[in-house]
Amino acid sequence: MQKEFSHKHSAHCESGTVSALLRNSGLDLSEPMVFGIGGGVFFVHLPFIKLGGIQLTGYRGLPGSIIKLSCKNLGIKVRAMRFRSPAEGMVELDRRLDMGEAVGLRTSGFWLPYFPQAMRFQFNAHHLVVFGKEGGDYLISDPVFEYTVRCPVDDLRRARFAKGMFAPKGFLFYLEQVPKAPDMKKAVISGIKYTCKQMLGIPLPFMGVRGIRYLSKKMKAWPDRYGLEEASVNLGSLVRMQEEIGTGGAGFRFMYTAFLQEAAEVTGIAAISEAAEMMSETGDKWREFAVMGAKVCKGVLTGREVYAELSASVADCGEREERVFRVLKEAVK
Amino acid sequence: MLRLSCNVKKTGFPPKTCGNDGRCSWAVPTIKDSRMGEAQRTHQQAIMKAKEVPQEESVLEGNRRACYAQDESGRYVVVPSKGWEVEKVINDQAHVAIDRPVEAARRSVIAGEASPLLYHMLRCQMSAGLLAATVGIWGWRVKRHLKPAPFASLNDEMLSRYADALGMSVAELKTVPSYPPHESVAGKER
Repeated sequence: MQKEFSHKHSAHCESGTVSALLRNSGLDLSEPMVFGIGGGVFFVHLPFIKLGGIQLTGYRGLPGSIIKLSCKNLGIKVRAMRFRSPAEGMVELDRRLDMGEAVGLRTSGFWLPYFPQAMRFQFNAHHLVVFGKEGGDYLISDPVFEYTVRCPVDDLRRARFAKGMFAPKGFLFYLEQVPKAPDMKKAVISGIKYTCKQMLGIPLPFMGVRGIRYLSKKMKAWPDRYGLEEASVNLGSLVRMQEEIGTGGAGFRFMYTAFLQEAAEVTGIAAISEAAEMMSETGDKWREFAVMGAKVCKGVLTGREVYAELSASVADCGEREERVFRVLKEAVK
Repeated sequence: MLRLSCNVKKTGFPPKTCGNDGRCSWAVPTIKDSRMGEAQRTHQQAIMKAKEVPQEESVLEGNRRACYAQDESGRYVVVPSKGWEVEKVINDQAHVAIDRPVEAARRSVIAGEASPLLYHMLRCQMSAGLLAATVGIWGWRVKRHLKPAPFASLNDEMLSRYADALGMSVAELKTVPSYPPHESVAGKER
């Protein structure tokens, strides 16, 4: 049974999990690298889909997309499984651990006892690595925590088989084959290409740069449409998605900057480091938006006009991101 | 330290409540760490520096969150953060929205209008549909069990299925606290 596991504190669960599994299979890739190669950055705003009463807004792609794309671009073979019955899923997990393998899991965040009480939400897209079992506890390397943690069997079972939107169904994955020296340049470029396509190329108003503009447009009308109180709830959940849910700050934009900096070194393309600087500034703008949004939620800033201002600041972020991805698109052409 | 506090002039919003220095008082953190110098109070520089990552008491209960911020050489690196007041504000807001119906449910259970199942279901942030899916029964049955009489007539097997789905014992499932629970984070202050 594997007991030694090199744990590293990460910002995002999914990219952190892949990075941790890779590191322990002998390929040391940073979290931002996995995130970028996996085309992690995205934007989507679907006000007509409610998750627990709040509008769906995402600063990244669907859960699982980073695992899929990063491994594809790096030429890694991943094996993923889901289970019909919880018992089956737990047996398979134990079997893998007995073979001395570390395993990635998708869980709900609500049932993990080591989560701070305030961070427990019914949200089914948390990822973590299990690397051993000791007594009745699983040994867990949860990338968003500073140190490794433990989790009792029952709690982990509940977390793995939570129901609802994005139900994980015991989702379990492990790396079957990891190349010693993957073609980093190629992987980085296809990651960037994918992200540019996602951010600029989807002809729907809800996604990518268009999604940011769409959100900005909608936000202006929030006070009239929902009333001030509900508008502030909308705003609060938006800021929560951006800052609180393991994004590394500014809705993954800072992490993406870290990736672009590394990418510029790997590829030697100067335009990418230019894009990194622009992305960093965009992140700052998102961060300013978060501060202002929190002021509204706290009642420090009030009134309807605030939303016009907030909307303008989101629109500004959208413009900036469009410029960043246009530069990137040119750079990797 | 929190250079992120929006420059009031720049955004053009006169804040309604202000600290002594003319900025929103809550946005300017008290600097407990003496290493944080005066320089970080300036708001002109719009770059997230590693040493400026907010370190405010927040909702993480002593855990730290990884943030990406620039080090001296301009590279973005992981910097652990104890918390940020912005997070606390929005987290509290989210928990108020969750806690309000939980507290209302607790009262109606005590008043005999609802079964304890309603309280525990809401406490676990579940809807009747989600609980039904977790237990593996139809939604209308869960809805029925939210009323006191049908709940009281449940057999042990059904009770233990509910208890398992909600991560608690059957004995706990049959009762509700007689006072607002303390563990609810936002509930404490409100």
